[in-house]
Amino acid sequence: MTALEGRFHDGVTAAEHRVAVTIVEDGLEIAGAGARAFWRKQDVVVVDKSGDVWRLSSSETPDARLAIEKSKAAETALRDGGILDPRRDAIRGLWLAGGLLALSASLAFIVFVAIPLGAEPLARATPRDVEEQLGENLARQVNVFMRPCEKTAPADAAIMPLLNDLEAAGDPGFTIMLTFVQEDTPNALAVAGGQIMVTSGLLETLESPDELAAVIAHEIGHVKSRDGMIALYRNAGLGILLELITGGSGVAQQIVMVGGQLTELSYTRAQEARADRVAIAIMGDAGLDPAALARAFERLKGYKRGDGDEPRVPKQMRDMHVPEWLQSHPDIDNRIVRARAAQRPARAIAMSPEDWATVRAACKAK
Amino acid sequence: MTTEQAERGAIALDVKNNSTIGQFLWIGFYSSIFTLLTLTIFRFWARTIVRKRLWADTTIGGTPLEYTGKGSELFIGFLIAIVTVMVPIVGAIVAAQLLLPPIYTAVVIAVVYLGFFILIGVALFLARRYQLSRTNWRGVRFEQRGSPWAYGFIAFGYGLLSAITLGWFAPAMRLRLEKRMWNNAFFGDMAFTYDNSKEARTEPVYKSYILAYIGVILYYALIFGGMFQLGLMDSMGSGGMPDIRDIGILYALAFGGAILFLLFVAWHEAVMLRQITKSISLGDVKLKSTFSTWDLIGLVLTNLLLVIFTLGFGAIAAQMRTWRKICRRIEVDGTLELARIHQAASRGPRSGEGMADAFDLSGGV
Ligand SMILES: [Zn+2]
Repeated sequence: MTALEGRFHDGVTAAEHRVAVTIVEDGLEIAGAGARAFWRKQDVVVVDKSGDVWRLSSSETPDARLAIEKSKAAETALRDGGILDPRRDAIRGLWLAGGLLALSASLAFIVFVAIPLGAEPLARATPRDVEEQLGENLARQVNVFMRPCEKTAPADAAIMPLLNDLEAAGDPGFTIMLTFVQEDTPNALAVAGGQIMVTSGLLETLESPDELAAVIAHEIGHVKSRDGMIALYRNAGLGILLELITGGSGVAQQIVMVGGQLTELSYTRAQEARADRVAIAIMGDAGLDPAALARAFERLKGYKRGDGDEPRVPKQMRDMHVPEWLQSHPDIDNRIVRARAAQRPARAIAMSPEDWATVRAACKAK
Repeated sequence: MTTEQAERGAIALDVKNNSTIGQFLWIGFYSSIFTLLTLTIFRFWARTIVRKRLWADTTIGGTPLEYTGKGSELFIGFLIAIVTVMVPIVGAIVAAQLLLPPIYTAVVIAVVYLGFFILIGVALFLARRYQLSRTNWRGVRFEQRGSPWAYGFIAFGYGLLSAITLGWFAPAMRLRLEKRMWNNAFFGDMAFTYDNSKEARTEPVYKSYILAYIGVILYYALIFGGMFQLGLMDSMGSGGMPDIRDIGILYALAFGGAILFLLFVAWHEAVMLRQITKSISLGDVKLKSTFSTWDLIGLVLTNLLLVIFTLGFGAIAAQMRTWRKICRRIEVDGTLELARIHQAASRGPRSGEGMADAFDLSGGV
């Protein structure tokens, strides 16, 4: 059998030993002054083959190293002895590639399926008093950016009967807390736990009390479906995921984020449609014309078309400021059509003209 | 060199690095692609590939270093840190924000942030412990001993002191932390020592720091001055969006400022590198660096160009160039009795730099 020359570190001391390496039937015999070892064939690992030597180790003595000068003869001997095995390297590479592929697939599954789908059952499983507490705290945080209007007591009193009717018709499972907030963009939003906010801009844009009733009924729909809570869980999930992605390349991070937002958008559309259906039912039960929802949408659309100027807000606050009607813009015409189809004659009026005037002036108190 | 000489350790322990830019550009290129394809998960394996190459290209006394870490170890360490550290921290903050009255929320967040700063030191220590345990030279492992928590608390205390003294303690902090690390570092069973005595501090650490300090002040004066001049502060306060031209000017200012900043800080950074290097010894072996201020300026500027002209793919090659320069400027004096150095006591942690990754501290190599 051929003996190769090698340099050997035994993994016990840092000394280097010149050794003769003999390839035998079942392994490598390493022998030299002050050093002797036998590595079984199945234990031998090629740790580096990129330089001008092969650097070998043994899984039995993982710190020990054997360096063999590269040469044609040495390569033939090591390959014939089954020490160098290109096929084994290829198989290991395939395993790694497969593992990474499976990992990325599961990551994609989490972003696109598990988080959006899991958020809803989680929201339903959350105790209602927890969501209420949460809604209060969230509302407080929103109010840092959208100040509540001052001295709204007359408007609160004027809207109370309508609110009670809508709440009774909708049975949202939470006590509805309505707050008027100072904000030019016409919008209404339902934070978790029955907290609903109506902006001063909305009061100016809408032109009749049944339109306001329809918008509030839509928000009650969100409260009933616990959409605020669902969004919280979804954002938390995506947030953790973003944490997993940070430190990676910026582009990949962007892809995942955009992908997450796109799936979220499709789920948001479904939630809006559901809230519209609840709103139509509530309006009908309260004896009001459900088509008022369509009229409200028309006015909000008109607001967008009117000046065409995006609100000047910092980017991170955009989501909160841009009305949901505008966010799901391509969908709005369908929603108008559906709401209009639900038209039926009103049996009641939403509120008296005097009360409507009081409500519209909610944010104008000096 | 004969075996007898080698066993007595009578070899020159010269440090060399023969990495080539092409190789690292290629690694940077394909790992970016794989990182993209795997939704960034490949980054742990990419870092391992880079380290393996870099270590293998670095020889001491003719024998290369070997990096024995695995991508899977970094990945698992990262997952463990996410579950045990990051999720509880974020969970505590979110829960406090959502469920507690504002005053308690502030208290919880303050406590969590305090803990977070301590954990930064812990994370850096753990990352270093992992890296040394995965470095093999001549069949013997390196080792970082000592308590990660002690390091975290002390680093936090020093950081506080630096803040109180408006940054004047910062250079002393760096040197003391280096001392703490190196005095607990081993090659096999042989301890490194770090001399931070007054006599050993021969480089103009504080003299150069004055210039760096002025540089920092000038830099911020330039940026904030520019922002005020453009009236950006007003538009930000009122929630408006600054226009594109102003942002362009601001970027130009930041870029020019960074170059200016480099000129002011380079001296100090080169001084620190030389001071730290010359304070380290292993047995009779003393280190020394001839890394000059102009070396640093040239390196940073050429690296900047490299990264810009390769659209970012060259970032890894740039890091390699830094390491290569450091290696090429190291001088080693003295010899080691290599046969007397035995294997390190501990194998080191099973998994990788989790917390440092979770906090995004391990940027690059
Ligand atoms: Zn809605």
